Amino acid sequence: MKINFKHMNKNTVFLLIFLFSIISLSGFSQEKYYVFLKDKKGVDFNPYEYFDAKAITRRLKNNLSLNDITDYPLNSNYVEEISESVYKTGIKSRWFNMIVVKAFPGEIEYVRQLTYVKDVVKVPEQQLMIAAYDVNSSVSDDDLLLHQTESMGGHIFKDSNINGKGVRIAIFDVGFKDVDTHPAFEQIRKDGRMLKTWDFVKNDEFVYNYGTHGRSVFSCIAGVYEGKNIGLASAAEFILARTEYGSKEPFSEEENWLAAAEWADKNGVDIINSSLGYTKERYFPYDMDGKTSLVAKAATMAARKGILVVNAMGNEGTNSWKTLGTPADADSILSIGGINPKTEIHAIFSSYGPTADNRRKPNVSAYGYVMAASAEKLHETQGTSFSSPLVAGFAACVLQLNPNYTNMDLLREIEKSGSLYPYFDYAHGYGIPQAKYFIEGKTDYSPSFQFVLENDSLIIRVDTSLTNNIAKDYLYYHIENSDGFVRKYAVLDVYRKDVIKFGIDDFKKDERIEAFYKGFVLSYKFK
Amino acid sequence: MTTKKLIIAFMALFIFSFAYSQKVLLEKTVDENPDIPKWGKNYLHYGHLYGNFGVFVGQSDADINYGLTNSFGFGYRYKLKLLKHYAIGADLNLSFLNYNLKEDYLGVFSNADKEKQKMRYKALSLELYQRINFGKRGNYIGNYIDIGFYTGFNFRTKLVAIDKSEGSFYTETKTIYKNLDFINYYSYGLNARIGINRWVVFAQYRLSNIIEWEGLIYPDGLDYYYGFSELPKLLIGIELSFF
Repeated sequence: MKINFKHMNKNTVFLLIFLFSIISLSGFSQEKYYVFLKDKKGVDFNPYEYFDAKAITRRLKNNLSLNDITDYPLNSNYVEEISESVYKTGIKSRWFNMIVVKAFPGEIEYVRQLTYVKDVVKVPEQQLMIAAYDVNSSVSDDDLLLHQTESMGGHIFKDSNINGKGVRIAIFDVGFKDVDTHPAFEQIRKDGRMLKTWDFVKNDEFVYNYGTHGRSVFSCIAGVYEGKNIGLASAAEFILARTEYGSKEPFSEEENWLAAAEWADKNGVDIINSSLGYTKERYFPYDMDGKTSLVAKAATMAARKGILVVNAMGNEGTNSWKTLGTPADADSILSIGGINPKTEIHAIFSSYGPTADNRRKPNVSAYGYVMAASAEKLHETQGTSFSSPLVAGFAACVLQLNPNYTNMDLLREIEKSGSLYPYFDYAHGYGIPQAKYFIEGKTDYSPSFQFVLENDSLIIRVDTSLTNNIAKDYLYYHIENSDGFVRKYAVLDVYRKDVIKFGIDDFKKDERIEAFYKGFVLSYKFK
Repeated sequence: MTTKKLIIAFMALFIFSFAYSQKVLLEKTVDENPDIPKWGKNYLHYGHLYGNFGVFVGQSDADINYGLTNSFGFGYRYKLKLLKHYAIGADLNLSFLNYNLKEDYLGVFSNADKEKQKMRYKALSLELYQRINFGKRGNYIGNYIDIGFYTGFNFRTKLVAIDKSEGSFYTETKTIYKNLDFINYYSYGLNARIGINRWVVFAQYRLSNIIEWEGLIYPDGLDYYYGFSELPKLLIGIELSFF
């Protein structure tokens, strides 16, 4: 075999030039970094000038200082010097005392050496899961529209004239196409309750385009179409933020989320709905610990500022990812799973908990198949993207009813109102929040089953004659260890008295089995 | 018991057992300390099928129809992740190469303007490559550059010559030569790929010659041989990964 060097030389040169150009371009182009600053020395801050009055009220209600250093602006001298030293700057976060920059290697090295720079973190340039599919749940459109709010006891709020009035909600999404003209939002527009809008992608006010997802989400919080409620908080106030690009999903979407959260905080929101999440494009399942992603840190910080963040769990239930996305993994926020209206249990697509550090998620669930505002009127769509705004609207009603609730009170009470509470599993959380809990108080259900020990077996024996006004004859049970980690859970359709028999030897010491049947919850601990 | 009674008893038992069975609507076992998977797009091991198409470019002494001189291929690519941004791997590929020639390689034509010759062969190759990934990512292929060395075996070599003649009658003569002994049966070279998830642009440079110059052919009993020009070595194309 011989090599024809004559041809090789020319072509090799071509090939090598081609390859080295690519490598060179990737190696010497500007990259994105987070520059964290050490301090905010010499910075003045007047909370009364910066914050909306509602933001001040929220801080006072949550016993938060009005002079929290994390609310102070960045030192303008630092920002100016860094801006002049790098190719381009992005968002500036008060909460994290951080500035996003794009810089060439030499530039970032200079910035790193600045005495007031605490840390420089290189940012990946990568990629979401907004979750919405047009589908058919095999429930009629009218039934679905009625039951998506009625499953939470919507009429109870409505009868009590509770509709989220006075509560301010921020919605972060990909775009709010036609929300400025769609009839589902007519009353909100008439009342001037769309207070502010900001497109964090393009940095301008117009958000009524780019994507329809935000319109559908918004309608599930507050939409009213032909006199019928799509969501429960039809009288709430809104600020709308576009944080997502849509088809293209760069990492800057998480920065936009952070910037939008600070903006929402400044503008006095009580609740943020975020039907967004990031999964495999950027992270591994073990990153879903609420501490890894920027957006999870931002959501946790928003919670520390007294805002209730309501986030969709994600639609990865049937994919290999399976678990929740971020920021649903963040601590102290409400992460919402999806329910199939036909079976009234977990919707197959809804992502499962727990978080990577084994915290309990989802917190609660709501319908994952909904009727939502579409181009002309309403359409059926699915995804936890719509479960989340249903609960956000519910939360607004609860806050109207209990204006002194802090965000954490609100979170805990919504969990307690769950249809399964105190039973929990990683598919349903504490179940669907119930308005009845907030109007009539806790319902005490009659014992509907018992644990029976027979020889080496533990049997769950139900009283099938009881109705307890719960339609579905489902028994939920889970097995949890001494740390509260649920190692197994199931839902059974009950056909006989002895629903399930466990071998006692299958349990470890201090493990507990807990079950829910017709509203009644009972547990058995193995010693 | 009669057959009829047996059937009734069986049906009764079936209905009874159905009525008293439990229907499991959902059942999940959760691992408190799940193992990190070993197999996945950005885990330790990963492999996938792909298909590609490329055209030969670059200079050649052979007179060929560029664009019609091309290669279709498919294969399986394995990746072993060694570091966060670095992996090595192996690739098994089967390609169908087609060189559309303008020149009369075998001197069989009566009318040089209407000649058409195609040389075809299949190549089974094994490549060892290294991959550099760019950017942080999850279980995702992401953006990368591959550089690899391959060695392959060429087989089913064939030269098809179509001679068109327009005399009193239009005639078309198709001559097929198989197992060409002037073809080098082994080849080796370099591969480079730039990938964005499943979409890949590739370049392949054959370092070896495909034409074995010592190989002689005496077509149709002629007492002379033809020497063959080396064919273009650089193949550039696109590839789609299946995952």
